[in-house]
Amino acid sequence: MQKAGFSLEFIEKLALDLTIDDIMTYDVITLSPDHKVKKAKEIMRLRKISGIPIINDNERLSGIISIDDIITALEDEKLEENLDNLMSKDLITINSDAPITDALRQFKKYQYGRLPVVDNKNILQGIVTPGDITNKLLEEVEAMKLIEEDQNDNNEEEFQIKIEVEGGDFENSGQASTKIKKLLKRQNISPSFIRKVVVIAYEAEMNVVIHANRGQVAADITPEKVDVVVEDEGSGIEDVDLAMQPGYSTASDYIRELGFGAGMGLANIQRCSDELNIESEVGVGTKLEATVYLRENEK
Amino acid sequence: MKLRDIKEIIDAEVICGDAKLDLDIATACGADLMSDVLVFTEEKTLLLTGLTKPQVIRTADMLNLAAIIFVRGKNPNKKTIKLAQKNNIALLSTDYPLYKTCGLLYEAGLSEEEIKEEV
Repeated sequence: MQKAGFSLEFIEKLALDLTIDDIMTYDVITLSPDHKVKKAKEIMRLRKISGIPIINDNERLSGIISIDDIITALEDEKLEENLDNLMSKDLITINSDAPITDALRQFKKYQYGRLPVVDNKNILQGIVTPGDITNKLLEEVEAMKLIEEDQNDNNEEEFQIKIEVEGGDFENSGQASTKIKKLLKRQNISPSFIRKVVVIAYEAEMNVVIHANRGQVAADITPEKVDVVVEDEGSGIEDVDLAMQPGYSTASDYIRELGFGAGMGLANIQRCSDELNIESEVGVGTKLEATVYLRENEK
Repeated sequence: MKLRDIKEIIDAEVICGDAKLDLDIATACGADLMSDVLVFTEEKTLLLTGLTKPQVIRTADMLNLAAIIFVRGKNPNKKTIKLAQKNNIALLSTDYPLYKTCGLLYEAGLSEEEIKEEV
């Protein structure tokens, strides 16, 4: 059955309404033309990115270096050379207020993996990839789906939701918890109960984003209780008891800059849970199960 | 205390959310650690912070915090502002550092939020 909201027209309209500004990554790592190629290679490896814009002293875009360029550099043993010699200078850019359909057209035409976003003075504003567009469209479609499902099963008091979370995806971190919050808000339950569930989901989601490769955040909602189950594939926790201690942290400085990684996440989760179980295997992953019971005064 | 009064007391600029200036603010908290913020439970709480990343907005949204004041003249990037607008959270910026901002508001009678062990 074709749902009204999922027609091709719907997707096209969505794509027209969205601008590059809505989907681009703002915090972009940049390098300057006199940096060495090997530096770009290391950043790409560590941060799992596939291209780095090169900007000059006036913050104007002067080139871009991609994985392909790095492979060429490896073959030709040019890792010690300056980026200036290897970067692509013939650039296709896009303006931040252009519709995303413009970007889609450019990606199709030039087969590039990313487009630098610039303002009228050629100052770098961010970067956009085909993945950003796909993610945003999926997110919008999913939001529509959630609303439609909710409208269809209005009388049903029990439901589940499961959302995939990518490790290292700080741009979108918190979105799974936001969805759970939205679903709970449509039920007639007290804000203090919702807050407990949301804090558990959010801290656990951040743990996946910070420490794991990928994972899922799931919530099982019934009139008596909510189970939050967060599973991930990642490094696992060596000593769960130690990790539960307030202040214990293995997070990097970058995570701390985001306001996380102070070692309070699991302590917060425990404070909000009525039951909590964490199973973890080093090198495999972690499964966290938390239950919050709805008390009489919260119904 | 209205958000408008708070704006005057700490000499703040509104970044977004002009329409929310008449909002009543009951309590405030100052923190740069998001897990510390997640301990707070009151909805009409104001967050004072030096952190301007989008994660601050997401955290505030989880708790339905009313408004965020960035201290020490810090200004968030476009992405952070957009996220705040989307989630209907007012953003203000003051040149005072965190300690002084808190002090001024405390002196003016804005109470701290008590952290309850049981949320």
